[in-house]
Amino acid sequence: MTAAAPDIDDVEQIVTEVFGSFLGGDDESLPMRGPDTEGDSPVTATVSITGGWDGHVVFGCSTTASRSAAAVLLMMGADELAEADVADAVGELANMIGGNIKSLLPGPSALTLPMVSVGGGAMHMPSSTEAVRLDLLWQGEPVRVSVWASNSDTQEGSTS
Amino acid sequence: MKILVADDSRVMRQIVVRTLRQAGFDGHDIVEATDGADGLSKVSDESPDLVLSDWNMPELNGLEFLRSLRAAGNNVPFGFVTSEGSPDMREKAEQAGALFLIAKPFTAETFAEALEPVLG
Repeated sequence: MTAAAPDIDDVEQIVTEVFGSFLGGDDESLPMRGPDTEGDSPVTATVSITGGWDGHVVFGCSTTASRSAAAVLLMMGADELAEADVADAVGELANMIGGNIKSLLPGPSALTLPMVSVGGGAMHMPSSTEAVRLDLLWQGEPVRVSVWASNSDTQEGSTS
Repeated sequence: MKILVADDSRVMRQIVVRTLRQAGFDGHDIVEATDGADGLSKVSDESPDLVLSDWNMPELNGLEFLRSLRAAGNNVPFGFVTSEGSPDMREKAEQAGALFLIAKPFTAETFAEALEPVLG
């Protein structure tokens, strides 16, 4: 079995659809390709895919972007948000993006509930290789979506 | 009519309720459930006319929620609103008795098309 990975353009299309549907539909509010950035995002939400393809989808962004997204999704002022609101919003973005990426990959497979990290710290994905990294700018703030393939899948793919 | 919205994300429950209004389905009573188990309890207590449920939830996922309802003889109209719209999941949803599966992200037009036959 060849270990497929989604194309970066497919990932960008999914992210654009999610942002366009729920975070403001006009062209100026859509995320645009940004410069490759070093380091980890301070806010991340991760969903894992297991089954026909094994790996992880990580949505990461700045603290400002996470609060802006939560404010739009909940139609609240950024200063009214609780940390749980921000975690819920970022987790739901990862869930939508990950669920749509899962649909592009070999199945059947299952999607986990999102795991959200607020506050940074280095991100480690043991036994996985980053297959796609999409760096974007949304409202001038960095947003990153990355797809990590488990090494067992990668090894199968390279030998068959 | 009464609509039960089951999703473990408060953000998504709000978006679903907002989209119902944008799709022209104003004036219905909305009941919210935080997962499938809560949804099962609230279907029993509230007797909704329609259930809109996420798939991927803790406690009892959406498919288990639907199967539990049908196993108990409850045939309330049931539709999924989920981030996963693969052919495999659509087939499972239909086999379990779901009327439709709306994939996230969605639009008010998608809601109107799927819900019109149920809500009129």
